[in-house]
Amino acid sequence: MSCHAEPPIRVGTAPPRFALVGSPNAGKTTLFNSLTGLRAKTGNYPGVTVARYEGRHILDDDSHVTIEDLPGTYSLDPMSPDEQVVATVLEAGTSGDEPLDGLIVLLDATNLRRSLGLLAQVQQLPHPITVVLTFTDELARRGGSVDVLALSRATGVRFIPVIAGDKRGVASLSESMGDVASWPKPMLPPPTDPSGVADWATSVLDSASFRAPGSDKRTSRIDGVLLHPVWGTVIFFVTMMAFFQVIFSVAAPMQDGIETLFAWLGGVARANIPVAWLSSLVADALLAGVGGVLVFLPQIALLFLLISLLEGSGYLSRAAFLMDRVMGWAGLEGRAFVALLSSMACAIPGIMATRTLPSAKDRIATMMGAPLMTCSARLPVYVLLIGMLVPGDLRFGPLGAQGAIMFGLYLLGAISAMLSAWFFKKIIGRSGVGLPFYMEMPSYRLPRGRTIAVSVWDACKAFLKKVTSIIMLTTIILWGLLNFPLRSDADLQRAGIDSRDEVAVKAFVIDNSIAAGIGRAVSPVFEPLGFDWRINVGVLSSLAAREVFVSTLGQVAAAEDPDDPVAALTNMTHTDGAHVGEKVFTPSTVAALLVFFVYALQCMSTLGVMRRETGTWKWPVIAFVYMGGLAWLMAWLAKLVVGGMA
Amino acid sequence: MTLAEHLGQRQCVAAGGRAKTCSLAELGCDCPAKIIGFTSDDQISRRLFDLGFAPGQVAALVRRAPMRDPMVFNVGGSEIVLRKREASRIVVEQQ
Repeated sequence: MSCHAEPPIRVGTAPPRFALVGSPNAGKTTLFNSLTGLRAKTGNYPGVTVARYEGRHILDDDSHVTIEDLPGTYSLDPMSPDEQVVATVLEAGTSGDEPLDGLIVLLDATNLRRSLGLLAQVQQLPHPITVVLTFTDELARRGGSVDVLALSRATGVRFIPVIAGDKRGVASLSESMGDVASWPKPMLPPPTDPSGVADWATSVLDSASFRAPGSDKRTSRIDGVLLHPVWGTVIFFVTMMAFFQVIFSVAAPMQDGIETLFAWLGGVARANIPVAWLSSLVADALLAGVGGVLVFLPQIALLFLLISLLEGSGYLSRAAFLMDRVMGWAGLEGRAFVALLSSMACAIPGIMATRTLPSAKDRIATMMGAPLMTCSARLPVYVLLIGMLVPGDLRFGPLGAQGAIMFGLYLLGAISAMLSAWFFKKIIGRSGVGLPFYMEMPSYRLPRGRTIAVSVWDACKAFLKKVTSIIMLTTIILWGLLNFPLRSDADLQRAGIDSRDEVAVKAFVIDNSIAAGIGRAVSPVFEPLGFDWRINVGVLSSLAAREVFVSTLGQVAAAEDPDDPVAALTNMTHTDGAHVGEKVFTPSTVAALLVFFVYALQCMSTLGVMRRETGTWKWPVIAFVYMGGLAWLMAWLAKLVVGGMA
Repeated sequence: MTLAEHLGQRQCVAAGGRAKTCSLAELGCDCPAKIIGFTSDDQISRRLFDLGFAPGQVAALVRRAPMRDPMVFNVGGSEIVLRKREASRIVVEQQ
């Protein structure tokens, strides 16, 4: 959902341009946010910034400069696509048509020796350079120290300490950006050959009387538990289970509130809009349909709140560490796990996060699996269907049954995603060289309230935007398809329907609508899964966006029983075919539907991003076809198994 | 020549004939060791170098993942996760 990452904001080339260069987790994005006020996502996981971000910073004299936040990199000797971006932008900055006026290099004070290596590489470029020294507070907390002025003298470039984008540090950086001409520059750039740069770093650190920080006691104490071979794994699964319990239990009351509100609004609309078709459009399509999707806003907000808590605290990197071996079985690495984990919000950022993978084959294999991870668009569908499958008060021991089933579906999606990545890795062939896996373990940090608020707000905004654009549009089109052709009194009489019985008339109209025709036309395909034409229409319409499935069923149900649409849905019966009169939503059909939604790639935006990232339509087409086939097959199996149990 | 090409020509020190050497992957806990070099000279070794696994530096195994792989190493003030395959390219001298 928060899927659709904004394209980079391009500002004219006239104002001075500065690029932020630094390793992942050096605090680049935080500094970028304080400089520009533009909200780019910040996180504690190395490699969050994959897209290119630009923003405007206003100097003291009210002129402005452009700041570009480059992806984090440990080296200018590129291995992955996003490191290639850094190399290309810097190279173009010296000669191309997007000149850079200066580079701001961020160095993490807690691992200064390594950071100086990156500085030495950047200093080979002709640009003026200023260094921002971050995490000096953490250095001090861990018993280390450094003389910042001496660092400037020894390296020949200016060092400005900035702690988490604090006002004073940012102000002095801002001041210096106004006067690039005065930036000091060493006579000769430092060496880059391994022994030369090591000696250079040693001499710089010595002259700045650098005392290395001790190990982070707090982090190692926490890791002693969270990464314990046994407890760590147990805690990981408990955390994941709790995740889904919370999504259900905490959101439920808010959800009920919104549901009641929309039901009441629907009643008001029906009572007060005199024109019959308009009243139906407003009450059935807009309030019952679109409102039916909006009900899931609390769940979306909670999902993103929990994900950003995990990310901001540094636990996500630990999860990648714990899961790396499992990913290794699928032929992938821990970073691919993070790409898959981001797909739990939405497959689109997940697919974009594959840019941190150095191997093109790994990237494609991960992309083929990513859409199977349960994205937040599936959440409304799952919540609706699980609610029909088991009552809310049913418990398995301490766990609510609904949360447990939800966890099971997420697990099924995750396992399938990995198997599919493994399969595609096999087919595409092994990558020539064994590519390295490395990852920095960030210290545990208290997640920043603002970062979390921004992440949740952005997700909610994206959801609301989707609801009011594509979902509303599709819902209105479906309303048309469900209510046309219009029926005259003569038609009704011929069919033996009393034209004064509004509910019967509605049922007749819908049952003979264009949508019903389409739904029945595809029923040979879905009949073995137990779907009736209404579900077929829902499934087809969910190609636009998965949530439309919920709004479609909401419309149909509201039309059949405006007072209690939930009951209408539960009691819905087959109107034709071999099962006339039998209930549509039997446990086996609901299970089949759930499994169908686990596998089917019903998301146009995902296909679009796959096309963009791979540069060909081949992979999106393959993904769509294989997931569609798999969805049908697995749904059929689910129906068989659940039907057998019942 | 671009900077990336220039950096690609760096030679990482290859380890040679010393006593008491082993690979970083064989290191036990609580037993820091000095890095001597790499078993091969390629981009992966250069990247390990850029990550802080520089000859002369002391590295220590912090912990292993549940199935003993990957491993967390402390080097130069930060904790870096490596898989056994990468760690075994780094030659260390036990102290």
